[in-house]
Amino acid sequence: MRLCAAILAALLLAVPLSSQTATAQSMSFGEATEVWADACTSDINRHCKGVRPGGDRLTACLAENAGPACSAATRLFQENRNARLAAQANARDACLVDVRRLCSNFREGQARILRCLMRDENFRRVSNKCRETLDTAGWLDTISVRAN
Amino acid sequence: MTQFKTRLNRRLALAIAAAGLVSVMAWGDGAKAQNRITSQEAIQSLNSTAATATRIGIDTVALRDDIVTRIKAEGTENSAGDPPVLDVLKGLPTFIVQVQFDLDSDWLRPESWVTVARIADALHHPLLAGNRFLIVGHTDARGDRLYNLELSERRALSVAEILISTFQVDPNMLVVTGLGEEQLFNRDSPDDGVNRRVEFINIGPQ
Repeated sequence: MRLCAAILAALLLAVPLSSQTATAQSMSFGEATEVWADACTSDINRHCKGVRPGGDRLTACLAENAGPACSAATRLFQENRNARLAAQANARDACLVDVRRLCSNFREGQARILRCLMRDENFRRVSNKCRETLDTAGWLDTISVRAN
Repeated sequence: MTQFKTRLNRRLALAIAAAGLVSVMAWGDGAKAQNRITSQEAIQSLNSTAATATRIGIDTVALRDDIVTRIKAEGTENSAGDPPVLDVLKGLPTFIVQVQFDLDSDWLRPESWVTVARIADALHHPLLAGNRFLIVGHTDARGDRLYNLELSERRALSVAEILISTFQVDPNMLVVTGLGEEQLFNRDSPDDGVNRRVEFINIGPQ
């Protein structure tokens, strides 16, 4: 089981997922956590049971005790999480020009601007920078443009 | 163009996945607790498209006081029924998840982190931005009612801690409370594990 997890983690570290482009995108928190939990559950139960995540206590416990598969999965998790959070924080700037050009009459809130950008007639004119940032942020695919 | 096709394929795959899971989707009354959720389901369930999610004041201290008073007044091992004080929460967009804690513990098992991570994905989506969410911990009916009230609060707090510390969810979006065994999911089987759950309730804009 640990060997499988190690191979999986190594594969994920070595090559992008088939659904990903080489330049952008990140796993969702859910996907990244699934890989992490598969690789780390036994290490956590053995060495870090009861350790809570606040104050980086769990990270510190894993850094000290985790085997190679869990360590690799933890790094992968952190990289994906950080990439996603950074893209979400950066989305407004990355799409500023596109929003002014295509969706300037939409108010903020209820993802109105995002849904405007995702309309097919707009999305094909959205800049690569904006697209890739939204993709890495995990904000494409998850909503319908017809949602209220 | 390739990227656009990839996007369409992924949307299709998500749609198929969502359709396959629709039978276990959690929507307010009659919902099933679940541990295999997608972020998309969480977003849909918590989205405040319904007019029900208007701004509402939730006083968790008063809520707790009412429940403690009720437990002491009844003096019974199990509650007679759902506390009437909770009526205000019914009808709000709710998402119920089952997360696993060790017996008598507020430490979330690693396998349940995946469920919390998917909730975190949803809470980071622009569609839910600006809303507040009540995280409600529940226990089954085994053990003392007052003790279970406190345990359920610690469990809800534990989930909030992961959302905030690991997934950087804005703490201002979260309100934490526990209802112990006072609002069982399945009153016919009070000791059933299905009662041990955490509910996320959209209580409207900040």
